Amino acid sequence: MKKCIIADDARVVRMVSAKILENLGFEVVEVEDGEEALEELEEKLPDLLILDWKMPVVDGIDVMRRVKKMEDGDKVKIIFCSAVCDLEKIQSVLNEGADDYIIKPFDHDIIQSKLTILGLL
Amino acid sequence: MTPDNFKYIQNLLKVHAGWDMSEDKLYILDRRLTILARQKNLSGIKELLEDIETKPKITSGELVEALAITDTTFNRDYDVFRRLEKVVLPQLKNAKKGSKRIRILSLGCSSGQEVYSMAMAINRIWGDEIYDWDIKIIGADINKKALNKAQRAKYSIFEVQQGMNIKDILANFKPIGEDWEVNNSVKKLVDFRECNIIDLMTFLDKFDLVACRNVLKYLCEEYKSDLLKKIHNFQPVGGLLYVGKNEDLSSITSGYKRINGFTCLYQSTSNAPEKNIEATNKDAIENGLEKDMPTFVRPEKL
Repeated sequence: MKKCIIADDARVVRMVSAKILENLGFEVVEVEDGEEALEELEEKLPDLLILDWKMPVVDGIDVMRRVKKMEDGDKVKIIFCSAVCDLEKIQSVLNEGADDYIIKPFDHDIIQSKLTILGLL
Repeated sequence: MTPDNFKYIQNLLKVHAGWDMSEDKLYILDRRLTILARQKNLSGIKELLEDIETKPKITSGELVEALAITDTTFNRDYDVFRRLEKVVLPQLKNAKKGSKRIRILSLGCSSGQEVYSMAMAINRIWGDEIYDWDIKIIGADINKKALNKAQRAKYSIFEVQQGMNIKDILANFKPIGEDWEVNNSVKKLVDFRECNIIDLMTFLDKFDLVACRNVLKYLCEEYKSDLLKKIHNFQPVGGLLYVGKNEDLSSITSGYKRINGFTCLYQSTSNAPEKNIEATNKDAIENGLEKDMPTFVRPEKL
């Protein structure tokens, strides 16, 4: 079973994303900030990491930078999921190595589609 | 909806649009007819159907349009569309490098996502070479509302995020208020026309590629073969026909044959009837290609 870590400080977003991903066959771990995400990542790298941009303690970009430096970190597919819709900012996240970016709000079809494109389904 | 209501609608859709609406689609009809009745300030389906039979306030055309299935997404059936982009379109480009002219038709294009998806793929493949080519993708559909949306070229954030990654969205769209509008570099490759596929349809062009995806499966057998004959008439020999996933043309014994290794791609033959050729991966494997990869050499002869 593929593993996914969802890092988002909004509980509702985590719950909705987790439900969708579980329905798509993923084992899901929910965390509510970047620091907790890093702890999970150091234990075992997931196949997919869904990151909110703005989170307490450590933000999404810092988490992504740290993952990229981990052994086999480049194998983790990273999708940012944020309400930030500024094109330059989105581009900067992609330049840092994000595989895709979901602009909130989202639904089941969007997540399914993004995972299909990334070859995870 | 009563059984009589359903039979009436079923017959009307068959006569006016060639659709074979089986009873498992009843719930779709029921929902859409209820919405249509509300839009027309009528109390329900019963009154709506009485209205159709007695007063021509709602035309059969309006009804057919309201019941048309318009569901679509960008790059629909992603794996199939990737093969179109990675294999079929480059082959077509190579085959047409002499004339540098390509015409593509998307039948049943709905709100335009398939047409724009193909235009975006062509821009990616051709790059700056696009300026030396004469390429047009025509989208045709019976549904005016869907066509208007296609022509406006504006989609919600939900619509653009289905079937596209963010890189493609940023490269091909710009945000306008709540919507995302297709860039001019993509729009200039496309055009849209209203057309009922069973009346079809006088096109002056011959189309190198016709996409008729998720249309045939809704048609009655007699309309299906009739439509394929019409499509065949405006394709050159060797022209490509791209159908939907799980749309089987095995009942068609002339005019098209399936290209080896592709489940959705057919190629027009001369008018002489011939046996349908079953797709197989055998050739692809013998040629050292990966499983499921096509040998696909015929378009070079277009």
